[in-house]
Amino acid sequence: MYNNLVISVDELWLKGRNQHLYLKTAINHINSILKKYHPSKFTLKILSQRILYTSSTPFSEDIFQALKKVPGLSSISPCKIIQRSEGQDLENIYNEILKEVDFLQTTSKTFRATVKKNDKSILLTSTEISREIGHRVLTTYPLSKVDIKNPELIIDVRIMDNVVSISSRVIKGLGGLPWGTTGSAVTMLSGGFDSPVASYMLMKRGIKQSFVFFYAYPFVGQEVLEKIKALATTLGKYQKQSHLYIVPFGNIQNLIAKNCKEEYRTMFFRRFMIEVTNLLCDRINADTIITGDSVGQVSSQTVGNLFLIDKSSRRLIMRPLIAFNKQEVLDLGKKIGTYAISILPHDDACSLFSSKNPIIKPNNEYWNNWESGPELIHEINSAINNAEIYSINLKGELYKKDHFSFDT
Amino acid sequence: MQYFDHAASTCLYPEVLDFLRKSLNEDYANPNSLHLLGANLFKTIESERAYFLKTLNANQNDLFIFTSSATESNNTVIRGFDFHEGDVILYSKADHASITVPIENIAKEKNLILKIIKINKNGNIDLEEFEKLLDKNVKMVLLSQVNNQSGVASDISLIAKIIKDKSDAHVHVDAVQAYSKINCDMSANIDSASITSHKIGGPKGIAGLFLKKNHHIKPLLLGGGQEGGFRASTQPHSLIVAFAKASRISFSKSNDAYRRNQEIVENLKASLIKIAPSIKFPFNNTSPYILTFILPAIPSDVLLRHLEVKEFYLSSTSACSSKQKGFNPTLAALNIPEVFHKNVVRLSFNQDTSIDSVNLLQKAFAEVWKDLEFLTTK
Repeated sequence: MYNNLVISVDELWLKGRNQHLYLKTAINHINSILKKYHPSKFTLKILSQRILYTSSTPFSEDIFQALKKVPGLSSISPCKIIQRSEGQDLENIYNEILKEVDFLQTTSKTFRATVKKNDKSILLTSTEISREIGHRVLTTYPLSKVDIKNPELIIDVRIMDNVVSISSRVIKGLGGLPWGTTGSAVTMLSGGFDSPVASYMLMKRGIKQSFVFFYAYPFVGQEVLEKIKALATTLGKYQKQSHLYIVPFGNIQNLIAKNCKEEYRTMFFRRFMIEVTNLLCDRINADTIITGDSVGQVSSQTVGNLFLIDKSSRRLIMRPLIAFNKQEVLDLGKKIGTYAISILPHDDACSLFSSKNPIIKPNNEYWNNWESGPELIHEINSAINNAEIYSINLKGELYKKDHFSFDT
Repeated sequence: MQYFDHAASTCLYPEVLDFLRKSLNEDYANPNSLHLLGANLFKTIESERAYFLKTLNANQNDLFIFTSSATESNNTVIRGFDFHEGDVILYSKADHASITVPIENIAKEKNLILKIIKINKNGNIDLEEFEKLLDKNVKMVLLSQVNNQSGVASDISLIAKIIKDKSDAHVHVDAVQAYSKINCDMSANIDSASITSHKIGGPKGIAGLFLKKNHHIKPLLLGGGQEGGFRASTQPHSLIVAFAKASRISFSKSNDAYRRNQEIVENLKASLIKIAPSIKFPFNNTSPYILTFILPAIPSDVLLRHLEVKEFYLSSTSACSSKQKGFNPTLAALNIPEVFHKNVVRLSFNQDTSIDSVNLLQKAFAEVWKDLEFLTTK
């Protein structure tokens, strides 16, 4: 039962004058999580690069798990705070520590105690106190063993003027930069393995994201939407709030496929997905586009083809997986929980349209001068208006929203 | 909206719906109660039971058990039969899963020998091959009168006679797609048959099992001794009567509908070939209520969704297995090459399907085909 949380923020020391902004953003995000998950009021205190949260009721495991997904946090330590008392002070601290690690009675673990104190009235040094803690833990719990270098358990004790904090658990945070501090993006989700992992990579780097899915109904069935919603809600837990845009794309693919050379179909699909994503970015003020591209994975991901796609975008396209091997992507997907969703089978319109010999080196003249025709231009411009929109809260709960209004 | 998936489930006749509204409200008593309310409901149920036996041309001493679904009826026969190790059973993998799955299960449990009834490339049972399978070791033969996927209608009276000439096997017929649409005669050589209400304009949740007297089937459900001790459960009086009402209406339309649907199928075949020359109709001797075709190069689910946008509803495979992707064992058993398993479309009609609605379907199909034809040039 922990009524206190000590949270440290990652990479803050790198930030110089902007430290304040980053810290504030991280605190905002943490506060929203606590407000959503924690039933009681809480207070916070900033201790240099750490934040101490205190509440009258204990913080739950759900909160620890949610905080693990907050970008920019380095660690989360649930801890016990005890008031200092005259006379029996150290004895009291030792007893509380023994209570704190009472699980050692039944589980064997290596440990180390670290003590920090800023109270000169205690005559023992920090090292002497930690040695004494070690001694008492060892004699009380014979299953335990000391390991200074690589312990399984760190008993962290901080003796301050009026209080002592004791913590035996450090939960590793996501690290990186707080949410939205590095910009905003629209992430193109496909239902495959790559795009959710790409999204996660840049969540860590503080990019606030909206998700877009190009829905090729009636070439694909509705089942795929459940998959996309599940991916978006899984990723949504890394953000304070997210939106998912389901853009109808079946008609557009039909028009493109009919009017271009077969071997160019996939490339033109991509070009117009990027085009629509740019229009969505305009609409919601997003800075950049994120995709799950990895170089050489499929024919549209050759260096030349990626460059061509880049040229059709008015925004930077970020491709965090560009140098990832497939297995590395799958491993990360398993870690963040998207793999189990991505692996579910779904119809893929691209395979229906795809050519046996997709173009590797597009003819520049054909690519640049291809006439999309008025019907396609109209469809592209109205696609966003017809998008289904969902909002996702930080618990990963999905709500349907109204379509965009037409007054653009 | 135009609906062409009646073989999966069809709409309620309005008269049946009216009856259900009233009956569910009024006839709430337990048909097994001794008071007058219950006794009256019981009497109605018994007279509907006699009615169903009559429609099957069965003897009034035979049994007709009300069940919850044709799946339950099929399971009751298969799981309730007294099989012994080494018994031989003949069945077809082209049949509905409510036959293939329980028989394959019980064969494993009891070490039975399963033999497959061969089907020729037109979807019909190869009678010469079939006769070779028959001997005194065959204890049960499972047949479908109309296959739900291909629509092929078998002459079950003839087949049952062949079986009984060479064996003492129990002959069970799944008559779900045939009942009240084509002649279902259970008077000779057939030991049990399943029919269901929701394929003929009645509600879901009620079905029937015909059982010849002196059968060897043990009940699945034990309890209060209803249905002559054969199926314990309070009888759903309203559903039973609604089932009978639907059956009466269906029989009254049967002759006209049969002729009209034959005409519809012939016209449809001719016009679909004109629209899409690559189309194939792999089956013959089919019930005019089902038309199955193969459209090479366009996945059937893509075609279905394009028609769905225009509010035309068709089926790609039988609804129970349509969540499967790729290889389809039912289609394989019907001799459809695996490359076409994703290209099979089933149209099915009811007794009210009009020529007008089929003309609209042709028009919609022509538009979709024109839209998607470019995909077939690959």
